[in-house]
Amino acid sequence: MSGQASNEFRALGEASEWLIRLRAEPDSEEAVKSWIRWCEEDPANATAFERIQRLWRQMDHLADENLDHASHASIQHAVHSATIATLLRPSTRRSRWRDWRLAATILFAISASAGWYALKVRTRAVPLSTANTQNHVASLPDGSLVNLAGKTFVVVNFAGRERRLRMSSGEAFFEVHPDKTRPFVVRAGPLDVTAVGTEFDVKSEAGRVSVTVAEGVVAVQPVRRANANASDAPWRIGPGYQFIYSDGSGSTALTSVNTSSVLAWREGRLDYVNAPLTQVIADVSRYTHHPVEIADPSIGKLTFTGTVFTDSTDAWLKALPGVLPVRLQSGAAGGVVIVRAASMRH
Amino acid sequence: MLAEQELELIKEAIGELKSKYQRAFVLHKFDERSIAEVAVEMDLTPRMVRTYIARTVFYCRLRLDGVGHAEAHKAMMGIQA
Repeated sequence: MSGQASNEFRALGEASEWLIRLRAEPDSEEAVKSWIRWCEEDPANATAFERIQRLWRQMDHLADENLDHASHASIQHAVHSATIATLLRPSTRRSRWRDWRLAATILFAISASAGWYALKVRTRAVPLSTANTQNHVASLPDGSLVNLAGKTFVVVNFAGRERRLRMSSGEAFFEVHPDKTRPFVVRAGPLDVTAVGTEFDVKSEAGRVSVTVAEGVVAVQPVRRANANASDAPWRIGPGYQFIYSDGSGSTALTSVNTSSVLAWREGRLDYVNAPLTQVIADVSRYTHHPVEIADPSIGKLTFTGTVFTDSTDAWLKALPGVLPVRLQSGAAGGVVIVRAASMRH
Repeated sequence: MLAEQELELIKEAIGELKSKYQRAFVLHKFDERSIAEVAVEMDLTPRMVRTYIARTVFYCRLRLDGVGHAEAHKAMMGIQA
């Protein structure tokens, strides 16, 4: 077995364990944190998790299959259906499958009319994730939508009094279905971002969290401090504003922004005006297959103005030396390192 | 591969596993029992149930990816959820 194949095996095996662990311990903060850490450790992990998760959803259809084909299938098919179906009580095999379907229909009906009751019964923590290079829109059980940027992981837990989500480093845009009785709380780094019915974007990377509000108002608060006092009152952020929190210094900034440019990533565009290269590369590397690094901090301070298309990041990288005084070197794991161009002197 | 063919392969792969794996998987996935409930029903520890289900999913993934029965089985046994 080649090293790459064995790494893929390892990642798929661990992904299977994670899928089940998150289902078994939906409320465990610790499980979710370590899952996110695991996803970020190796790009192969995130990809593997996505593939296992897709298979898990695909398996939902097995229930219907058994019901529909049980009577008229090839021998082999019948054997396999039987193997699966006899695990349920053999004598009532077909009716059990029907019951299951019926149960699903009833739950659906309840959730349509009585909302949260059914969700409380059914919802376990649902991990959502995107491997690199693609955005992904997911609808949540309450009718809210989440649009995930590349390499971003979110765990959804609607089992308690609040609608709770936890995101890894990365970026996500939330369109929250209004429900005053159940706040929608996104935990990103050291912050809790709370909304009722609104549209906002959260970006979390290396100790810096930014929250951009497109519609409505959100409240932002540092995660539980030991002795909360008046100064810990949440910041309230309105539409058209971006709030930035830096973990190290604890400093905050609130600025007015062009939200359509901040949110352009959802259409596959990253727009920048005089943005430091570190920030641009942090975004771009969520859409590359291999890691992209900056060799030294002075390069990171160079500023970039322009648009990067997320489906052609390789081409953009190749063209970068024509725009800034840098050149590209190959790095570890097939990655790219951005270094100073030889002639550059400050 | 068509979705239906994939489902066929998944079903075959599940059929290749020992019945304890199938049972734990089906109870949890289609009967919507929690891991703890399956453990009580099968008289196993929750940890064993988690291991069985994780192995089942992993095994199916590998079989769908074209990995042989023996190799997939060996890989699956490495899981201790």
